[in-house]
Amino acid sequence: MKITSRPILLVEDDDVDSMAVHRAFKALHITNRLERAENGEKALAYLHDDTKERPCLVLLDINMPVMGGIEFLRVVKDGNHNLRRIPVVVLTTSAEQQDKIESFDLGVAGYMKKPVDYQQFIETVRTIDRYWTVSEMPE
Amino acid sequence: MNERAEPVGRSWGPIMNRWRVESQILFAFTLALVVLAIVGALVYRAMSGFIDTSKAAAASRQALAAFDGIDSSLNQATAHERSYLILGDNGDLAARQAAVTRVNAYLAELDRLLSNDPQQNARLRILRRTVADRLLVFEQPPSGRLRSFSAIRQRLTRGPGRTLMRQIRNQVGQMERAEMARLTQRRAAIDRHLHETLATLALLLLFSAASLSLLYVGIRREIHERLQAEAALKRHAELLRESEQRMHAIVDTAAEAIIVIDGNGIIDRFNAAAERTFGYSATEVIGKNVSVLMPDPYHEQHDSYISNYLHTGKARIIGMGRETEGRRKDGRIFPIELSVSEIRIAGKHLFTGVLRDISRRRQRDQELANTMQELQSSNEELKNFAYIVSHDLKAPLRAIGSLADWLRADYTDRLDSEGKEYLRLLAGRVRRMDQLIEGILEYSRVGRVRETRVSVDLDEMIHEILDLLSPPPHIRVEIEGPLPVLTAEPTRMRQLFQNLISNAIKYMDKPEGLIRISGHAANGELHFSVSDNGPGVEPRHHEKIFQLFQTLAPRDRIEGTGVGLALAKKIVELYGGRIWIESTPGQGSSFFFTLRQASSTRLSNTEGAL
Repeated sequence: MKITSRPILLVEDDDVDSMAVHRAFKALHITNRLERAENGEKALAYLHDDTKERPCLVLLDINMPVMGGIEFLRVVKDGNHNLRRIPVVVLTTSAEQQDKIESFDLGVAGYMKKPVDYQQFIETVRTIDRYWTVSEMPE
Repeated sequence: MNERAEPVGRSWGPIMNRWRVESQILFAFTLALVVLAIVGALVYRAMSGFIDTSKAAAASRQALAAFDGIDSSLNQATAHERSYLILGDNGDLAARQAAVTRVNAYLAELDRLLSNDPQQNARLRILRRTVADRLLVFEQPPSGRLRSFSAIRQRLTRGPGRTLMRQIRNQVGQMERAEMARLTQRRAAIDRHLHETLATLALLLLFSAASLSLLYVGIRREIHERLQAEAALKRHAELLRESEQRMHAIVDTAAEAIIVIDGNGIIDRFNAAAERTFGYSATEVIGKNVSVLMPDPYHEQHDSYISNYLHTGKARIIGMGRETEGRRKDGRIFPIELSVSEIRIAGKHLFTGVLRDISRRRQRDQELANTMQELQSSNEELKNFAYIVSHDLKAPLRAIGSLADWLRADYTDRLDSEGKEYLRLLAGRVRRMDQLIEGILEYSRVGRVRETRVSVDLDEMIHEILDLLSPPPHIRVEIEGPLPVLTAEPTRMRQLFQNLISNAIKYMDKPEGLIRISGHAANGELHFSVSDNGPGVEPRHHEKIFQLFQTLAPRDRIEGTGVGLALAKKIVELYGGRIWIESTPGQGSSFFFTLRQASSTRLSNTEGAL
């Protein structure tokens, strides 16, 4: 990651998937702190909470209870530009065309499919890390 | 309207005709009267001439008799004179006197008879004198026998007596001849008059006969014509009645309710179907306003509607069908399909409404709509099902896979070789289940997820597919090109060919494999085939292999989800085609399929799920 001082916000309802990300971060030696929100609503609460540190990247699941990823993106898009500047990478099971279209329409920075195989998943996370190490991002 | 106008036009015909015939008859009669008068006058004249002439002829004959009388009476008188002179008998004197009297009487008669003939009159005067002279010869001397018989004898024989008698005879003869001539003349005149009269009468007879004949012919013809006209009229009336009866029958037996109203909305006719539809009998509603058959909102509008139409000519429902509502006698309101047409008879507006109770159709429509709704929701459910499979099934599967991996990684020193093998198998099954789920998703996307149809160059696409699949070197792929270019969803076409080609590669059991791909257009369809010299498929499996999740080889030996051919079949059918296999086990298989090109618009309407 280009910025290592800021946390990464993981919006994910599945505990095992969350564990997988944690495990992958550890395996890849990604030093950024990983904050987790169980759904879109909790993620928004985190982002609006001034006491919490502003994340440098959001990893977003699509299918979640209470508030899904697409709805979260809609709220963010309509919200203030501070929020809009945080890059969002969708990390989901869904390969539905509809989800991809809506996500990119709402300005996501990337769309990754969670592979079933954990080794492949590590590769996916590695790719994300490498990309955001090379890519510039707003402070 | 035209039908009505015709009899009116015809009714003028007889009037004109009658007038003509009457004037003709009048003219004929007048002519006959005039001719009769003329002929009558002629006959009268001829007859009166005849009578006059007859009278004159009779006078002539009387005159001739009188001449004879004079002659004979005078002879008698002279004979008696002689007798007296010889015998001295006074009886002779008396007889002579009687004869003289007769002579005078004859003379007087002649005087009367010949009064209108001056010539004869003059002759008569001379005759009269001569007669008187003769008679005086005897009477001159004082009559007495004793005095001088010799003197009288002398006078009678030698004196003027004989001369006078000769004169008298001459004169009478002359007159007789003249009278005879006249008589002859008159007889000719009588003949002439008679002929004239006869001729005139004959003419009259002829004329009468002719005119009567003409009249007879004329009247006969007229009667004939009238009879014919009457018969025609009767026939016409019969036809009219028949056609009216037929009309009635048609209207009454029509399946649709037919109601005729006038310009004021008053019901004029109400057929049997209308009775059934509305529950009113015809006698109940005829003469009433049609609004009794309408529910309230239309009820009020209707009258103003008709008058509005009649004034402005703007029709809202006339001449077209529309759906509205009717009200039955029992108050039930029901949907109707109504079409109104206008007829004008003798300047009167009539409106014919043909209507049908469409309750049942509405009900059917509703049922259909419900079924559609159900279908749509079940379709939706199916789509959602695929979606749920995609997310809710995959997440735990991935968790199982991840956990197995972590177990193997974190607890590697505590696991024996058997435990490690189990975890390896577990990971493999997770992968396979993932592939199955992917297969279902792929399959469900066909027809559900649409792509824009574009021109697809199959030659190019097949090469891309072959690059992707990169068949091993012992398998040769032949393309019998050029393959057609078609308008389709590129993803579906790729899936279709890729599945068939990858199957051929995957199952190839020969050291020198051959895959042949061909395609051509025929009869508005595109025909393709993908053939191989692989193991082939037994005929009993030919149907089964196109079903979802059906594979012929154990998955442990050859990885396959059993989705490929089912997917190919679904795509082919979506494009209006069909797919089948021809195969000789041990020698190879040929997959044939067709795609319809022309009806691409129809295809875009088909909705498929799963």
